[in-house]
Amino acid sequence: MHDKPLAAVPLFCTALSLSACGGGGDPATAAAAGTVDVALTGDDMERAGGTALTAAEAGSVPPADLGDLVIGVRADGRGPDGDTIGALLVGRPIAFGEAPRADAANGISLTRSEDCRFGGSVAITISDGDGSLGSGDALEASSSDCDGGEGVVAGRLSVVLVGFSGDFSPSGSATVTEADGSFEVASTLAVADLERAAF
Amino acid sequence: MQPSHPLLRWLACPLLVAAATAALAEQATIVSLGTGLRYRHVEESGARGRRLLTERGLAPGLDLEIGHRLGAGTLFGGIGVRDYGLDYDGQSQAGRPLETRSSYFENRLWAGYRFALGERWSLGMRWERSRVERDIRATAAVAGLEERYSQDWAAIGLRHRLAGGPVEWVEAEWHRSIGGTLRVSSPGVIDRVWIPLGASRGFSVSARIPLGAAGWFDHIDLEPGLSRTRSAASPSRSWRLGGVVQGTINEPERDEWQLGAGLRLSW
Repeated sequence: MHDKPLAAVPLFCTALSLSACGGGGDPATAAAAGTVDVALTGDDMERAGGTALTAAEAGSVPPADLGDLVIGVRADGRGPDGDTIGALLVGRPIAFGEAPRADAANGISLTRSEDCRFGGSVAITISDGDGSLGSGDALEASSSDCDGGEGVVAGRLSVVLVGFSGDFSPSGSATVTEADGSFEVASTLAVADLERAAF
Repeated sequence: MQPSHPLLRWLACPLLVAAATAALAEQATIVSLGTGLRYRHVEESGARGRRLLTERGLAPGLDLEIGHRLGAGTLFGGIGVRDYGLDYDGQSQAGRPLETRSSYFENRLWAGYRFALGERWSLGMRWERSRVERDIRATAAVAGLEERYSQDWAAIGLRHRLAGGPVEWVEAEWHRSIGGTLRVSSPGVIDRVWIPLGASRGFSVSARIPLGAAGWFDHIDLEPGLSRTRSAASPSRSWRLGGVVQGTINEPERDEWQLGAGLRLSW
């Protein structure tokens, strides 16, 4: 059994919140018809530096302005809203992480996933080098045509943690710091062409 | 083709010996028994090149090979087994540091033909089927892993016979996989699942140093060798626990070195 997914979830939220702070990054580049990739750069994270969050707060709700993360989708005028994406890429990992799970040796690579209500799934991968969150750990949530009833989302959010202090446990308080760009969030999100959801 | 049933598998060896004995009357046939001890180093890496584990240790082995002159070259085939353990230094799926042991049992069956290219050169082509059983031992907090690799290989090697000196020949061989599957399970964590293996390719260099003759053996040779094999990550498949899909599973990238030597007894 291990509790790593649970401990990691607030970090997702933290990263997403910090991403949302950036807002003014490079516009998205269309990757394929009906699909938009949004790349967040270090510039996007400028305002994230020095931001302090309480992990429990960050983990309790999706960031209110998560829609900022999908600038390209807004420009395109179609796609699910930020709350829908937040529910998929943040809310589902939270729910998933609440269940204790058995641990196994490496030798194979496992991704854990959760089915979505109307089809598709969200897969969660945690690359943790030493059993506790720290520098170099990577978290990823990948939505495979996940349909929760408000739109279909196909996207991936990956977060690489460079530095933090504090405690990322659900009841803990953590501070993500940026000093000379030492905190990085790399995020790519693709949102599928939708028929029923629109801004 | 390698027999899959354990009993048939072990019958294959004495059958091979019987065939070899029957062919001994002919000068054109050489039977050899090889013993080897190799240091084996395995690294597996996950996303972004992050090291998941390192295994290292000594791997003793035994093989029997028959060669028969046919046409412009030599037809050969053999069977080999290795049974050993490696030190495992890695981490669990949750990122816990993990030190344990991996037990290996391997058997291989191969056949091929070596063309003579003049006095000093020859070109060998070989097919091989390997089956590897790998059991990563559980610890108090982390479940173990059972893996069963079944893989076919193709190899081509160029051998140069030296004019003089203590070394009879040196050989460089390139090998690559031509298909294979991996069966994985972990009691209480992962139901049994089959995964198609990613492409593997590599090379080996080896040599033969004659040591003379003794007793029943016409030749006793020392054969040092070095090999490296790199395997790409496998495609992903769904994995289940209690019949319920839990996510995806794949075999990570693997980089493997082997260095060692063996004695070959021929008659």
